[in-house]
Amino acid sequence: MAAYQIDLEDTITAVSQLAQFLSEIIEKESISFEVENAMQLSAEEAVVNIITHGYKGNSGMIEVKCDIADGLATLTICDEAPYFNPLTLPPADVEAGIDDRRIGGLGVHLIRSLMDEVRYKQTDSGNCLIMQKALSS
Amino acid sequence: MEDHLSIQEREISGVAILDITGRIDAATSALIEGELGKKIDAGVTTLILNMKDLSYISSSGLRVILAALKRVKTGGGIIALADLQPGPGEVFKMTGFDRLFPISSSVEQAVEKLKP
Repeated sequence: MAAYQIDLEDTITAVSQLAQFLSEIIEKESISFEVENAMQLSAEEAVVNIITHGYKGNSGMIEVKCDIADGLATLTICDEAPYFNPLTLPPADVEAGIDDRRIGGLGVHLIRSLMDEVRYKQTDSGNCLIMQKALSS
Repeated sequence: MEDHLSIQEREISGVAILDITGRIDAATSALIEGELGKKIDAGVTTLILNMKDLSYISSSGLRVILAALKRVKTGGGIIALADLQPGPGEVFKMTGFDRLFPISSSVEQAVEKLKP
């Protein structure tokens, strides 16, 4: 069992800090390419949504935990933004042609598609999104 | 980790090509947005994005290239993708973007289809 954590406070550098944090874990834990891509994408999409919608571009705390245990990678991403459950968003229309495509709105769709299980939890101070993927996938 | 993005431009048989190396994420998508904007502002409507060395793309990158595709389509143009690698390829498939863009297995094939 290995547990890793990073606190992202600077919204400008959050995405590159997050990518670096995850790539170090991926190397250390010898995680497969497919799981790596799923972890990097899901974490980035969740963090970008928190910065853009939760904090509306202002600074705020984002805590990212990554646990590697029991054949699972678990990403837990918590913020102190107003309560919002991204899993209540309707599925993105990925069948639409170019004229009907909305620009954006695909982040949660990618998280749902890439991870095996996604849960939302309200905390006293904000929101947590918990995302799991089997290491063997 | 290839954590940054670089873009080089060239032309084959009159078709503009952008060779993209690295990652397109929320931190780097403004760079490709700027490069695509410059090309389109200069009147280029047919463009190939060579993704041979693109290791990663997130929805921030999809947003930028979809916006560019919408712009060139209004002028009767097209943006084609070449040599997509497994990670970005999966993202294009999952989001249905593989049906919005013509995708070729190599730049040469894309040029054959698009050259004037």
